Amino acid sequence: MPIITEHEDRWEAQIRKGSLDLAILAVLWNERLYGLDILRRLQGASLEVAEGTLYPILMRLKNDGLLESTWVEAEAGHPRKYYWLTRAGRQRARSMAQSWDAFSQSISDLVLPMKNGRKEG
Amino acid sequence: MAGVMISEDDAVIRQYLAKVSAGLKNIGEQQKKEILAEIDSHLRERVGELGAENDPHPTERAISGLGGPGRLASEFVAEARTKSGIYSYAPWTLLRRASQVARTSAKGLLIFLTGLVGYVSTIAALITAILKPFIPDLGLWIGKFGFVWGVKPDGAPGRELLGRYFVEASIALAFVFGSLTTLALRRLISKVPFFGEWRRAA
Repeated sequence: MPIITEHEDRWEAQIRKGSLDLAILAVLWNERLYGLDILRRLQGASLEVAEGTLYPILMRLKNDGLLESTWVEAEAGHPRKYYWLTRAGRQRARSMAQSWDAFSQSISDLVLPMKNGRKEG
Repeated sequence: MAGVMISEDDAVIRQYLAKVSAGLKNIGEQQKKEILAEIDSHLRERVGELGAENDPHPTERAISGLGGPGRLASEFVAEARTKSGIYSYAPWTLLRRASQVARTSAKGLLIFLTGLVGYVSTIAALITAILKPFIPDLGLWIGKFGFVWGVKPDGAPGRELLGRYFVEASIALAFVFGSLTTLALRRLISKVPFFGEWRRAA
Protein backbone atom coordinates (compact mmCIF):
# COMPACT_ATOMS: atom_id res chain seq x y z
CA MET A 1 0.00 0.00 0.00
CA PRO A 2 1.53 3.34 -1.02
CA ILE A 3 2.32 5.68 1.83
CA ILE A 4 1.80 9.40 1.17
CA THR A 5 4.48 11.20 3.13
CA GLU A 6 4.23 14.68 4.57
CA HIS A 7 6.69 15.80 1.89
CA GLU A 8 4.41 14.54 -0.88
CA ASP A 9 1.42 16.30 0.72
CA ARG A 10 3.40 19.53 0.85
CA TRP A 11 4.48 19.12 -2.76
CA GLU A 12 0.87 18.71 -3.91
CA ALA A 13 -0.21 21.69 -1.83
CA GLN A 14 2.50 23.81 -3.43
CA ILE A 15 1.40 22.79 -6.93
CA ARG A 16 -2.19 23.67 -6.10
CA LYS A 17 -1.25 26.99 -4.55
CA GLY A 18 1.11 27.85 -7.38
CA SER A 19 -1.51 27.22 -10.04
CA LEU A 20 -4.39 28.92 -8.24
CA ASP A 21 -3.82 32.37 -9.75
CA LEU A 22 -4.04 30.93 -13.25
CA ALA A 23 -7.10 28.84 -12.34
CA ILE A 24 -8.92 31.91 -11.00
CA LEU A 25 -8.04 34.01 -14.04
CA ALA A 26 -9.17 31.13 -16.26
CA VAL A 27 -12.64 30.79 -14.67
CA LEU A 28 -13.11 34.54 -15.08
CA TRP A 29 -12.07 34.46 -18.74
CA ASN A 30 -15.61 34.53 -20.13
CA GLU A 31 -17.78 35.93 -17.38
CA ARG A 32 -18.18 38.01 -14.26
CA LEU A 33 -18.44 35.91 -11.12
CA TYR A 34 -18.63 36.48 -7.37
CA GLY A 35 -16.52 34.68 -4.74
CA LEU A 36 -18.70 31.65 -4.11
CA ASP A 37 -19.33 31.27 -7.84
CA ILE A 38 -15.58 31.20 -8.47
CA LEU A 39 -15.18 28.64 -5.70
CA ARG A 40 -17.85 26.41 -7.23
CA ARG A 41 -16.22 26.60 -10.67
CA LEU A 42 -12.86 25.64 -9.20
CA GLN A 43 -14.40 22.79 -7.24
CA GLY A 44 -16.23 21.72 -10.41
CA ALA A 45 -12.80 21.39 -12.02
CA SER A 46 -11.70 19.15 -9.10
CA LEU A 47 -9.60 21.91 -7.58
CA GLU A 48 -10.23 21.84 -3.86
CA VAL A 49 -9.71 25.39 -2.67
CA ALA A 50 -10.23 26.45 0.92
CA GLU A 51 -12.78 29.28 1.16
CA GLY A 52 -10.39 31.25 3.34
CA THR A 53 -7.68 31.00 0.67
CA LEU A 54 -9.73 32.34 -2.23
CA TYR A 55 -10.64 35.81 -0.99
CA PRO A 56 -7.11 36.96 -0.07
CA ILE A 57 -5.93 35.88 -3.54
CA LEU A 58 -8.79 37.77 -5.20
CA MET A 59 -7.75 40.84 -3.22
CA ARG A 60 -4.13 40.52 -4.40
CA LEU A 61 -5.10 39.98 -8.03
CA LYS A 62 -7.27 43.08 -7.82
CA ASN A 63 -4.48 45.08 -6.16
CA ASP A 64 -2.18 43.96 -8.98
CA GLY A 65 -4.62 45.40 -11.51
CA LEU A 66 -5.53 42.01 -12.99
CA LEU A 67 -9.12 42.02 -11.74
CA GLU A 68 -11.79 44.63 -11.33
CA SER A 69 -14.85 44.29 -9.11
CA THR A 70 -18.19 45.85 -8.29
CA TRP A 71 -20.91 45.27 -5.72
CA VAL A 72 -24.24 44.12 -7.14
CA GLU A 73 -27.48 43.86 -5.17
CA ALA A 74 -28.62 40.24 -5.32
CA GLU A 75 -32.01 38.61 -4.92
CA ALA A 76 -30.55 36.78 -1.94
CA GLY A 77 -30.99 39.99 0.07
CA HIS A 78 -27.32 40.96 0.39
CA PRO A 79 -24.93 42.40 -2.17
CA ARG A 80 -22.39 40.24 -3.99
CA LYS A 81 -18.98 41.36 -5.14
CA TYR A 82 -18.52 40.44 -8.80
CA TYR A 83 -15.09 40.15 -10.38
CA TRP A 84 -13.93 40.31 -13.98
CA LEU A 85 -10.64 40.42 -15.85
CA THR A 86 -9.05 43.72 -16.75
CA ARG A 87 -7.07 44.12 -19.98
CA ALA A 88 -3.87 43.52 -18.01
CA GLY A 89 -5.55 40.48 -16.45
CA ARG A 90 -6.29 38.99 -19.86
CA GLN A 91 -2.74 39.64 -21.01
CA ARG A 92 -1.36 38.06 -17.85
CA ALA A 93 -3.72 35.06 -18.08
CA ARG A 94 -2.54 34.40 -21.66
CA SER A 95 1.09 34.66 -20.61
CA MET A 96 0.54 32.32 -17.63
CA ALA A 97 -1.33 29.82 -19.82
CA GLN A 98 1.65 29.74 -22.21
CA SER A 99 4.01 29.15 -19.31
CA TRP A 100 1.74 26.46 -17.97
CA ASP A 101 1.61 24.65 -21.33
CA ALA A 102 5.38 24.73 -21.73
CA PHE A 103 6.00 23.64 -18.16
CA SER A 104 3.44 20.83 -18.08
CA GLN A 105 4.69 19.56 -21.44
CA SER A 106 8.26 19.43 -20.12
CA ILE A 107 7.21 17.52 -17.01
CA SER A 108 4.96 15.19 -19.03
CA ASP A 109 7.89 14.35 -21.31
CA LEU A 110 10.07 13.63 -18.30
CA VAL A 111 7.59 11.33 -16.58
CA LEU A 112 6.57 9.48 -19.75
CA PRO A 113 9.03 6.61 -19.16
CA MET A 114 7.55 6.16 -15.68
CA LYS A 115 4.06 5.87 -17.15
CA ASN A 116 5.23 3.37 -19.75
CA GLY A 117 6.87 1.34 -17.01
CA ARG A 118 10.27 1.41 -18.73
CA LYS A 119 13.44 1.26 -16.71
CA GLU A 120 16.47 3.08 -18.07
CA GLY A 121 19.97 1.63 -17.86
CA MET B 1 -38.35 32.43 17.24
CA ALA B 2 -37.12 32.90 13.70
CA GLY B 3 -36.36 36.56 14.49
CA VAL B 4 -34.32 35.51 17.53
CA MET B 5 -32.41 32.96 15.44
CA ILE B 6 -31.56 35.57 12.80
CA SER B 7 -30.26 38.05 15.37
CA GLU B 8 -28.21 35.29 17.03
CA ASP B 9 -26.73 34.42 13.65
CA ASP B 10 -26.02 38.09 13.08
CA ALA B 11 -24.26 38.35 16.43
CA VAL B 12 -22.09 35.32 15.69
CA ILE B 13 -21.17 36.67 12.25
CA ARG B 14 -20.41 40.14 13.64
CA GLN B 15 -18.25 38.62 16.35
CA TYR B 16 -16.32 36.66 13.73
CA LEU B 17 -15.91 39.76 11.53
CA ALA B 18 -14.69 41.79 14.51
CA LYS B 19 -11.96 39.20 15.15
CA VAL B 20 -10.97 39.18 11.48
CA SER B 21 -10.88 42.99 11.53
CA ALA B 22 -8.60 42.97 14.58
CA GLY B 23 -6.13 40.73 12.72
CA LEU B 24 -6.02 42.89 9.56
CA LYS B 25 -2.96 44.81 10.63
CA ASN B 26 -1.27 47.26 8.24
CA ILE B 27 -4.19 47.10 5.83
CA GLY B 28 -5.80 50.41 4.84
CA GLU B 29 -9.26 51.31 6.17
CA GLN B 30 -10.92 51.22 2.75
CA GLN B 31 -9.39 47.84 1.92
CA LYS B 32 -10.38 46.54 5.35
CA LYS B 33 -14.01 47.60 4.81
CA GLU B 34 -14.03 45.84 1.43
CA ILE B 35 -12.62 42.65 2.95
CA LEU B 36 -15.12 42.57 5.81
CA ALA B 37 -18.05 43.35 3.50
CA GLU B 38 -17.04 40.49 1.20
CA ILE B 39 -16.61 38.02 4.07
CA ASP B 40 -19.97 39.11 5.46
CA SER B 41 -21.59 38.58 2.05
CA HIS B 42 -19.94 35.16 1.73
CA LEU B 43 -21.12 34.05 5.17
CA ARG B 44 -24.70 35.18 4.58
CA GLU B 45 -24.75 33.38 1.25
CA ARG B 46 -23.39 30.19 2.79
CA VAL B 47 -25.76 30.36 5.77
CA GLY B 48 -28.66 30.63 3.32
CA GLU B 49 -27.41 27.64 1.31
CA LEU B 50 -26.78 25.48 4.35
CA GLY B 51 -30.13 26.47 5.86
CA ALA B 52 -31.83 25.38 2.65
CA GLU B 53 -30.04 22.05 2.98
CA ASN B 54 -31.54 21.72 6.50
CA ASP B 55 -28.14 21.92 8.17
CA PRO B 56 -28.80 22.24 11.92
CA HIS B 57 -25.91 24.72 12.44
CA PRO B 58 -25.58 26.73 9.23
CA THR B 59 -23.77 29.73 10.74
CA GLU B 60 -21.15 27.66 12.53
CA ARG B 61 -20.63 25.53 9.42
CA ALA B 62 -20.30 28.62 7.22
CA ILE B 63 -17.74 30.15 9.57
CA SER B 64 -15.74 26.95 9.91
CA GLY B 65 -15.55 26.85 6.10
CA LEU B 66 -13.57 30.08 6.16
CA GLY B 67 -11.33 28.94 9.00
CA GLY B 68 -10.34 30.73 12.19
CA PRO B 69 -10.54 34.54 12.11
CA GLY B 70 -6.87 34.94 13.00
CA ARG B 71 -5.76 32.63 10.23
CA LEU B 72 -8.05 34.24 7.66
CA ALA B 73 -6.79 37.70 8.62
CA SER B 74 -3.17 36.56 8.39
CA GLU B 75 -3.81 35.20 4.87
CA PHE B 76 -5.10 38.63 3.84
CA VAL B 77 -2.11 40.34 5.43
CA ALA B 78 0.30 37.93 3.71
CA GLU B 79 -1.32 38.43 0.29
CA ALA B 80 -1.39 42.21 0.77
CA ARG B 81 2.39 42.09 1.30
CA THR B 82 2.90 39.98 -1.80
CA LYS B 83 3.51 42.36 -4.66
CA SER B 84 3.87 40.59 -7.96
CA GLY B 85 6.33 43.22 -9.13
CA ILE B 86 4.82 43.36 -12.57
CA TYR B 87 2.48 46.18 -11.76
CA SER B 88 4.61 47.87 -9.14
CA TYR B 89 6.41 51.15 -9.78
CA ALA B 90 8.99 50.52 -7.03
CA PRO B 91 12.48 50.16 -8.63
CA TRP B 92 13.67 47.60 -6.08
CA THR B 93 10.55 45.42 -6.54
CA LEU B 94 10.85 45.64 -10.33
CA LEU B 95 14.55 44.83 -10.27
CA ARG B 96 13.97 41.87 -7.94
CA ARG B 97 11.30 40.52 -10.29
CA ALA B 98 13.61 41.15 -13.26
CA SER B 99 16.32 39.11 -11.52
CA GLN B 100 13.85 36.20 -11.28
CA VAL B 101 12.96 36.60 -14.96
CA ALA B 102 16.69 36.66 -15.78
CA ARG B 103 17.02 33.08 -14.55
CA THR B 104 14.42 31.83 -17.04
CA SER B 105 15.88 32.85 -20.41
CA ALA B 106 18.43 34.92 -22.33
CA LYS B 107 15.67 37.45 -23.03
CA GLY B 108 15.01 37.63 -19.30
CA LEU B 109 18.70 38.26 -18.64
CA LEU B 110 18.64 41.11 -21.17
CA ILE B 111 15.65 42.64 -19.38
CA PHE B 112 17.46 42.44 -16.04
CA LEU B 113 20.61 44.04 -17.51
CA THR B 114 18.50 46.83 -19.06
CA GLY B 115 16.99 47.54 -15.65
CA LEU B 116 20.35 47.37 -13.93
CA VAL B 117 22.04 49.76 -16.38
CA GLY B 118 19.04 52.13 -16.25
CA TYR B 119 18.95 52.35 -12.47
CA VAL B 120 22.75 52.54 -12.12
CA SER B 121 22.67 55.48 -14.57
CA THR B 122 19.92 57.08 -12.47
CA ILE B 123 22.02 56.77 -9.32
CA ALA B 124 25.14 58.01 -11.15
CA ALA B 125 23.30 61.14 -12.36
CA LEU B 126 22.09 61.83 -8.82
CA ILE B 127 25.60 61.35 -7.40
CA THR B 128 27.06 63.86 -9.88
CA ALA B 129 24.39 66.38 -8.77
CA ILE B 130 25.33 65.85 -5.12
CA LEU B 131 29.08 66.03 -5.77
CA LYS B 132 29.04 69.16 -7.99
CA PRO B 133 29.44 71.62 -5.05
CA PHE B 134 32.51 69.67 -3.89
CA ILE B 135 34.02 68.95 -7.33
CA PRO B 136 33.62 72.12 -9.46
CA ASP B 137 35.16 70.40 -12.53
CA LEU B 138 32.08 68.16 -12.84
CA GLY B 139 30.07 69.11 -15.91
CA LEU B 140 29.00 68.27 -19.44
CA TRP B 141 32.22 68.63 -21.38
CA ILE B 142 32.68 68.80 -25.13
CA GLY B 143 35.99 68.58 -26.92
CA LYS B 144 38.03 66.40 -29.24
CA PHE B 145 37.26 63.53 -26.87
CA GLY B 146 33.52 63.94 -27.66
CA PHE B 147 30.96 64.42 -24.87
CA VAL B 148 31.76 63.62 -21.24
CA TRP B 149 29.30 63.78 -18.35
CA GLY B 150 31.62 64.14 -15.37
CA VAL B 151 35.19 65.41 -15.02
CA LYS B 152 37.03 66.61 -18.15
CA PRO B 153 39.79 64.20 -19.30
CA ASP B 154 43.23 65.37 -18.08
CA GLY B 155 44.99 67.88 -20.32
CA ALA B 156 42.45 67.69 -23.15
CA PRO B 157 41.07 71.03 -24.32
CA GLY B 158 37.33 71.25 -23.90
CA ARG B 159 34.38 73.43 -23.02
CA GLU B 160 31.72 72.94 -20.35
CA LEU B 161 28.19 73.36 -21.68
CA LEU B 162 25.85 73.49 -18.67
CA GLY B 163 27.65 75.84 -16.30
CA ARG B 164 25.69 76.55 -13.14
CA TYR B 165 22.71 74.53 -14.40
CA PHE B 166 24.63 71.26 -14.10
CA VAL B 167 22.95 70.24 -10.82
CA GLU B 168 19.43 70.82 -12.19
CA ALA B 169 20.34 69.03 -15.42
CA SER B 170 21.73 66.05 -13.46
CA ILE B 171 18.55 65.75 -11.40
CA ALA B 172 16.42 66.00 -14.55
CA LEU B 173 18.58 63.34 -16.21
CA ALA B 174 18.19 61.05 -13.18
CA PHE B 175 14.42 61.53 -13.36
CA VAL B 176 14.35 60.67 -17.07
CA PHE B 177 16.59 57.60 -16.62
CA GLY B 178 14.58 56.38 -13.61
CA SER B 179 11.19 56.90 -15.26
CA LEU B 180 12.14 55.31 -18.57
CA THR B 181 13.77 52.33 -16.85
CA THR B 182 10.70 51.78 -14.65
CA LEU B 183 8.28 51.98 -17.59
CA ALA B 184 10.48 49.74 -19.73
CA LEU B 185 10.84 47.10 -16.98
CA ARG B 186 7.10 47.04 -16.30
CA ARG B 187 6.36 46.53 -19.98
CA LEU B 188 9.11 44.01 -20.67
CA ILE B 189 8.50 41.86 -17.58
CA SER B 190 4.76 41.64 -18.24
CA LYS B 191 5.46 40.20 -21.69
CA VAL B 192 7.71 37.36 -20.54
CA PRO B 193 6.06 34.12 -19.48
CA PHE B 194 7.71 32.88 -16.29
CA PHE B 195 7.02 31.00 -13.13
CA GLY B 196 6.85 33.71 -10.51
CA GLU B 197 3.81 32.08 -8.93
CA TRP B 198 5.53 28.74 -8.64
CA ARG B 199 8.49 30.31 -6.89
CA ARG B 200 6.30 32.21 -4.51
CA ALA B 201 4.50 29.00 -3.53
CA ALA B 202 7.77 27.19 -2.92
